[in-house]
Amino acid sequence: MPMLHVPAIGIGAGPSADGQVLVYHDLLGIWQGRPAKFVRQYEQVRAAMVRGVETYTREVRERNYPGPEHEYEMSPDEVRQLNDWAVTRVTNNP
Amino acid sequence: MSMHPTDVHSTNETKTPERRPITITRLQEKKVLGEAIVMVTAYDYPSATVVDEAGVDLVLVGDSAAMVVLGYPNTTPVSMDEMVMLSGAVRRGLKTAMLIGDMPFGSYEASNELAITNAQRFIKEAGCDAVKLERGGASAERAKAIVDAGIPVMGHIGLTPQSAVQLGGFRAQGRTAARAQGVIEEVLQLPEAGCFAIVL
Repeated sequence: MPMLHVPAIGIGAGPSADGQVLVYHDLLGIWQGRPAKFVRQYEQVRAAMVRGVETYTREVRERNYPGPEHEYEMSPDEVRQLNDWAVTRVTNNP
Repeated sequence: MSMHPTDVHSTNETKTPERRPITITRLQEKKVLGEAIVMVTAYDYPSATVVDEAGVDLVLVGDSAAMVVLGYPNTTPVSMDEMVMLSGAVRRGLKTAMLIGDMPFGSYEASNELAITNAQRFIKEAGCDAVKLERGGASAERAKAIVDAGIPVMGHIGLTPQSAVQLGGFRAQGRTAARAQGVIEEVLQLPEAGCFAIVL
């Protein structure tokens, strides 16, 4: 806008503005509503998020998560001591 | 005003070379040189780190938070407390972009005093560099009062969502010659009031 001596930031005002502004959720496709005409959606992030949580949900229910790679280890000696203790504990308090 | 201590972010490494913080002078320079200014909204720490790393110039904590973050049907219910909380989170995620707090419906209309008090909250409590408020007319007077109190103000004319009911819904403004003249007259009030930039 040549009449204006400060920057004009457009939102639906066309390409000749000094700059542009968009809502984060609109440009990334996080918002599930219908985008306004002036929005260009650069990614479909919400779809990826839903897909990720769906996969997590399914894997927990199918016991595919956590896997062996997510477990914390204990030395065989510590495991043996713990087992011995558990046997005693159950024997004393049937 | 747009400078903040570097040690605040010293643990937050990026792979991009050091960029200088965006200032009002830099924005003016961009306008004169014809370099497009990039602005985007953000509402929390992770979105702030994303937009800052992507290299945007201006970050607005929009009152659109009412809808996209808080699930309200429009922008009017969001409170100053909510906006200040979100803005503080965004501040902590930014290194170079300029941070603008969006004054929510009801936070500036009643008086210049109310407008200044709430604009100061964005600066003092949330660490914003500037505030934005909607519309001309009485809002231009509020904008001038805030600027006079030492706080940079961005204006906003055209489809102003806080007054969407008055405007007859969410529809593009100024689509006849007469209405476009009205929009232009409103826009021209805002630099007079001291606004450093205008959303439209």
